[in-house]
Amino acid sequence: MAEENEFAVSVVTPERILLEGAAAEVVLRTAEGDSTYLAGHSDLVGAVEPGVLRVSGSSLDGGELRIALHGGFVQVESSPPVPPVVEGEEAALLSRGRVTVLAGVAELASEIDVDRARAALERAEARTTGLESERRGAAGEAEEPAGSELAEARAALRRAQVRLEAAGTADHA
Amino acid sequence: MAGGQERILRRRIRSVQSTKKITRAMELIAASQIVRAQARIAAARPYQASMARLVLEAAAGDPVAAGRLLGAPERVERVAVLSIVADRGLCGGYNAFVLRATERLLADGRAQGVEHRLFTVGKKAQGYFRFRRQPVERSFTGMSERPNFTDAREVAAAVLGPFVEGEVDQVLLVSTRFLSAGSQRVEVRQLLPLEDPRRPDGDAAPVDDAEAPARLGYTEFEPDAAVLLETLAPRAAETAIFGALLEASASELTARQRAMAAATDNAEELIKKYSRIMNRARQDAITTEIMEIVGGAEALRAGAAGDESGLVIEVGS
Repeated sequence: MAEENEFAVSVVTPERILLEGAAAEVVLRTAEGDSTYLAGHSDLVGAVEPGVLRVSGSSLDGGELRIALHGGFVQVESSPPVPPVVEGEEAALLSRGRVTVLAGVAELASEIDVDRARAALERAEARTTGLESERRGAAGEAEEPAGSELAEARAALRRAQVRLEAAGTADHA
Repeated sequence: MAGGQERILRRRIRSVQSTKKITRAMELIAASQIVRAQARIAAARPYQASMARLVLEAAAGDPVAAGRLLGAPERVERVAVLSIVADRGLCGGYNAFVLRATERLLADGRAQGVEHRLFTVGKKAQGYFRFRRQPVERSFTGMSERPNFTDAREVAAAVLGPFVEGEVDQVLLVSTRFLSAGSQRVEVRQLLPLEDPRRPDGDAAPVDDAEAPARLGYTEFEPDAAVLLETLAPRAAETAIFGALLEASASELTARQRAMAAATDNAEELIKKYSRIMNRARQDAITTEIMEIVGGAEALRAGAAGDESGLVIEVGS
């Protein structure tokens, strides 16, 4: 079933395993831009920025799966340990590497409520612009304190954007 | 007069019976939720294991940066404490055990001149510490029975913040571990710095030991290991808090089921006891009544006829 160029991939959240299977290509966003992982990638541990995670593989419906990822970590293992109980197909997959994506919050594109995300986007946009103009009016160029209302509004905005992008109906990027 | 006692007993039995219905229902509800709570603990395991693997990799990538974030803290002067209990009672000693352990920890700290900042989860902790005039920095409620990751994140942000900002040296957790359905234990654990996964004798090293050391040193980091570890550590601690919340909820439900099963048994016993007393009281009343009838009839007959022959009195049922 799995092609020669496919490797093991899993997307894990604290509440469940979102995806576990074979993939030929995994694309996700890091601080330096989009990164693509193919079979045989070298060992890597990295931080993942909020963005759309794309997994393509022959066993996936439509060849590609999109997941809205709200930040997390990725680990690539070129030769992950193969548990003795694992054989055949699965062991072959593991021998070509394993990509594990860890995310506190992640949603499959098919599970995203587009209307809700759009409403959230509008709310967040209104709040962000409101707060931004308020800031410009009040003080000068003071450094943005983390966890402030504005930072929170921006995060909410980003989340809504990522959701819509993953759902494939994004007019904002 | 005797009839009055019977009525009182009957009323008490009815009241115990309705209490028993309630405790039985609570027992069954708790029992059904335990299964789900256990499933949630199991569902959270893969994330925890992967997180531990990441920490291990990153720590090996930069042992110097790992120094502050892993293992024992260099000095312990200011400590944040997170205590996890239930929102509700009716679960035996569950809350009391955790709260007492927390209290002990705080008292020890005072004796050693350690400054504690207390955070709590659960309504029961709120009341307990308010009564004892122990200041609580923040308390969270409404998540003890069915915690989700968003709850954990909220708690983690408040509790871990001071450590990230360098305001405290250590973050401790007091909660109930769910070892199995039959065994739960109150434990004080260190959340931050993280438990050092490189130490082989650490009890919670979910990493398969054979693989780890062989591959170290070849891993790329993005951003570099020190920065990565800095962002990874709070996330790992947050994962631990989520795990602790899940285990606490399973423990709470188990404790409640057990307490309610005991209460139901007790109610049954009471009902049995009261029924016996009531039956005896009723029997006594009947006997007394018969005696009165017999005595009365005899007196009547003796008075009316002056008959000397023996009496035969039939007593209707």
